[in-house]
Amino acid sequence: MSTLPSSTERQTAGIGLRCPHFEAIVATRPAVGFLEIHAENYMGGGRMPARLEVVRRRWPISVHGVGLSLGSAEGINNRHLERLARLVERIEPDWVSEHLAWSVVDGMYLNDLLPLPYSEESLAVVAANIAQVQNRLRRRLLIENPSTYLRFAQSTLSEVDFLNELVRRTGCGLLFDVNNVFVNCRNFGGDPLAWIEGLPADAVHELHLAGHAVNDADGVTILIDDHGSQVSAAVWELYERAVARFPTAATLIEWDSNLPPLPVLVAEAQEADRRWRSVHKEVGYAAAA
Amino acid sequence: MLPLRELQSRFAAVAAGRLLAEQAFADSGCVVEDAPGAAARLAIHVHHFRLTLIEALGATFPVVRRLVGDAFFTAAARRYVLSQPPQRPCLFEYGDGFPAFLASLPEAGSLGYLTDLARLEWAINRAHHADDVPSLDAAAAAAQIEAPSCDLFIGLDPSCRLVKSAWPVDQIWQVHQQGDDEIAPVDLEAGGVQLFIHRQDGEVGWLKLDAAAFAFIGSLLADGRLGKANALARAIAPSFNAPALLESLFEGDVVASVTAIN
Repeated sequence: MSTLPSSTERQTAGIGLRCPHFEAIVATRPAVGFLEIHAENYMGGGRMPARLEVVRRRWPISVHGVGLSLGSAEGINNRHLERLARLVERIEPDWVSEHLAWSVVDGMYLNDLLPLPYSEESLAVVAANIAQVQNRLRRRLLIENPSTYLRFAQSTLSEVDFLNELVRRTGCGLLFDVNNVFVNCRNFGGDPLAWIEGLPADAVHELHLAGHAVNDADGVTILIDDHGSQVSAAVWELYERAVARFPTAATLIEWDSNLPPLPVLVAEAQEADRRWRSVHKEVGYAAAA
Repeated sequence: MLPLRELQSRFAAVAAGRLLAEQAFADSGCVVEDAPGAAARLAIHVHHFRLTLIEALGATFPVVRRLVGDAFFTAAARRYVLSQPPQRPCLFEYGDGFPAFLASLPEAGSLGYLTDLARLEWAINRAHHADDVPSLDAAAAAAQIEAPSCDLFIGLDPSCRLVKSAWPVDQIWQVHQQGDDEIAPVDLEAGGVQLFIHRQDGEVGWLKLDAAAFAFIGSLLADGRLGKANALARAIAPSFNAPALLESLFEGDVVASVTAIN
C-alpha cells in the first residue's frame, strides 16, 4: 500500500540548532535526523551563516521563520521576504515553515507570535500573504498552529477549520505543533484528539514537540508554551496519536529557554523515535514496510 | 467588530504602553472574557514583548549592563523598548539608538564613559553581523592601482566601524571580559582612544589609531576617494604615511574593492 510509510521514509527526529550547542554538535555529531534553524538569526553575515555552512554539509536543514508576520493586515514586508528568499536559496532546506500569527504593525515589530481572530477577513489576509511568500520562494510553506492565551469574540471559524481552509486556498502544508494544541486545549477547553482528526493528514509534514510552563494568573492556571523544559507526559501521549495519523511527518524537538546540555535534547529526539517505532509496530506499519 | 488592521494597531499600542488593555479591547468586547480576564491575558503578550527585548539589549550591551547593574539596566532598557521598539524582526539589528538613549538619561551622567562604551558595544555587534562580501581579487585590485587614473576608490569591508572616545573605553571593555573578582582597575585619566573595529576570519577586533589615520579611514568609509582621505589626514599630520596604513588594511582583509577613477 503506497500510503503506508516504509522504514526508509520515516525521518529520524531532529532538534533545533541553538548557538550554545554549536561546538558540541560539530564535535559529537549526534544521530539526529535534521537541524532546524530560526531564519532571522541567519540573515546577517559573519559567524552565524559560517556555522550554518558547516552543519548543513552533514544534516538536512529546516528553516523556521519567526518574523514574517503572515497575519499582518498591512501585508508582508518585502525587504524581510527578500532576506528570507536569499537564505532559502543559499541553504536549500528540506522545509520552510512559519506561524499562523502576526508580529508587525505600523512599522513596529512586537517580537512575539500574536494571535489572530479566526474570521473571514483574517483568512483572506493570511491566504494572500502565504500566496505571496510561496510565489517568491517558489516552494510550499508549512504553517504552524500557534499557542494562544486569549480568544477573540469576532472569531467565526475554529482553528482547525481555519488551517484547513488555508491549505485549500493556498496549497500550503502544515507543521503540527503538538505542544501548542495541548496548551490551547488546556487553556480554553477542547479536545486535542478532535484536533488531530480534523487536520488534512496529507498536508502535515512536520511535528513540533516542546515543554511548557504552568503559570498561575490571578488563581487561574494558564499553560505557557515557553520551550524551556522536557516534553510533558501528556504531550508525549498526544504525540503518539499524532504520529499514528501523520506517519511520514518529521518530528522536531524545540528548546529555547533554560537551554540544557546537548545530550538532553538528543535524548528527547531519541524518545520521539522510540515512541514512533512503538506506535507503528502496534498498528502493523513496520510489518507492512 | 474591529477591522484586523485596527485590532493590530491597538495591540501594539498596549504593548508599547500607550494604551491600557482595558481601553483597547475589553470595552469593545473584542477579547473573550475567559477568567482571569482579557487584560490579564493581554498582559502575557505585553510581558513577553518587553522582557524578550530587554534580554536582547542585554545580550548586545553586556558590559553596559555590568557597569550599571541589572536593576538600572532593566529599567533603562524597558524605557527604550517602549519609546523605540524594533522595526525589523532580526534582533541583532535592534539597539542602534540605545547609546544615544543612555546619554539622554540624567542618571547616566555620573558615568561619563557609559555612552561611548555603549557605542563601542554597538560597533562590535554590527561588525559581528555585517554582511559577508566576496574577498578582494588581488590581481584585479593591482591592475586598478597600476592603471593610469586621477584617483582610486577604496571600498572597505561592511564590518568596518570607527569609535572615538575621550575615555579609555577599550580598556574598560577589556577588563569587563573577566569575572567580577578579576576586574582590574582602569586609569580613567589615561586619555581617549580612536578605535577602528572590523571583522577578520569571523573574529571582531580593533586597532588603535592616531588622529590622522582615524580621519583617513573615516573619510574612506564616508566617501571612498583615496585622494580626499589622504589630503584630510595630511592636514592633521603632514608626515602621514598612507601607503603604510593601506598595506595594513590589505593585510587585515579590510579592503573589499579598489576602483580606478578617471
